Amino acid sequence: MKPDCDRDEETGLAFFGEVSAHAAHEIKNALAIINENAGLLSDFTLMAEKGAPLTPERIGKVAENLMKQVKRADAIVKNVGAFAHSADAAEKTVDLNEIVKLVAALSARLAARRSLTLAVSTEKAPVMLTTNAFLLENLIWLCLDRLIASAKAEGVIRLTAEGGDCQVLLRISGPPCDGIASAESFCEGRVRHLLSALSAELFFDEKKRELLLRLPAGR
Amino acid sequence: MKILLVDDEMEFVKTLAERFDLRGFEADWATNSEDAFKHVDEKSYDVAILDVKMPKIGGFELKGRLKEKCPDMKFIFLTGHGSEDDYITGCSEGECYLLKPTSIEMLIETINEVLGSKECMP
Repeated sequence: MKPDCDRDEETGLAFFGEVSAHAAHEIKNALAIINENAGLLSDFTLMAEKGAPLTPERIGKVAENLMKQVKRADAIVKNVGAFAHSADAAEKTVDLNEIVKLVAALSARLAARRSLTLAVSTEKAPVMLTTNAFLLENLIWLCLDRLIASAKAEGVIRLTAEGGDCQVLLRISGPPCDGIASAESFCEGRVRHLLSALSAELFFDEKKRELLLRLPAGR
Repeated sequence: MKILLVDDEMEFVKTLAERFDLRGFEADWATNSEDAFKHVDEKSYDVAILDVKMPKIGGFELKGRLKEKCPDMKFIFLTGHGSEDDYITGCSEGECYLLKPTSIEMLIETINEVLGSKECMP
């Protein structure tokens, strides 16, 4: 059995790799659109030099596309930056709402590829807990990844953070899933390790199709 | 020269189609496999440029299905993913595999290669 520190490193590296790869792919997609629109402007310039008329409306649309993709890439980089900084400290007091929003943003495209939307319902008040933010993001990511991969239908996966005195709760509900009948279906390898590291518990309500992650508030 | 472009990023595939049109090609675009099949039902294409990672049906699977309808169609894969596994699969499919972003000149050169022509005539 590997020592915990080895499992932490292995799990963390795998998570970091997955998030980085997905973010890189998304940034590439935004750059590809920027590239084509810039190329189109270049094409219009060449045509104008040969006497063809320029259409202001069309050029305006190209400019709009460029700005939209710059904003998109900027948002991805911002999220990756926030994710990277979550590893700064082994333990800190964080708002579960913000953690959930970040992981949902990082997973959005993965979900979209399966015709799923991630909807984060947040309480008006922060849901604070003292924990290892990086490990928690990893755990939520793995749960979402599993749900997304096994979803049988299109739809919405809802994430709701709920606060309490001694513990906090994350509810994840969505379309029916293949091969998921209990929390045990999730508790493999990395998930089991992370649950232990975070002193967290996972429950699955088959009737409500709801995954419940209970975490100590640690305050 | 008829080109079919399939990518789930509409702003990418629509702009690329416009750029091909400006160069005298006849380029149609689709953001999903269903629309790609509709195009292929109406017209025969010389080459299809497919994104690898798409919702529901990815590029490699789409190629297989399009090939059934149009055995003579050639294929180029285009992706932002860049994983070693995808590159190996792409190359083993026997067609060309390019990483985004790429230049339209590179795309035209690649179309030339897959069609086995020295000069690409629209």
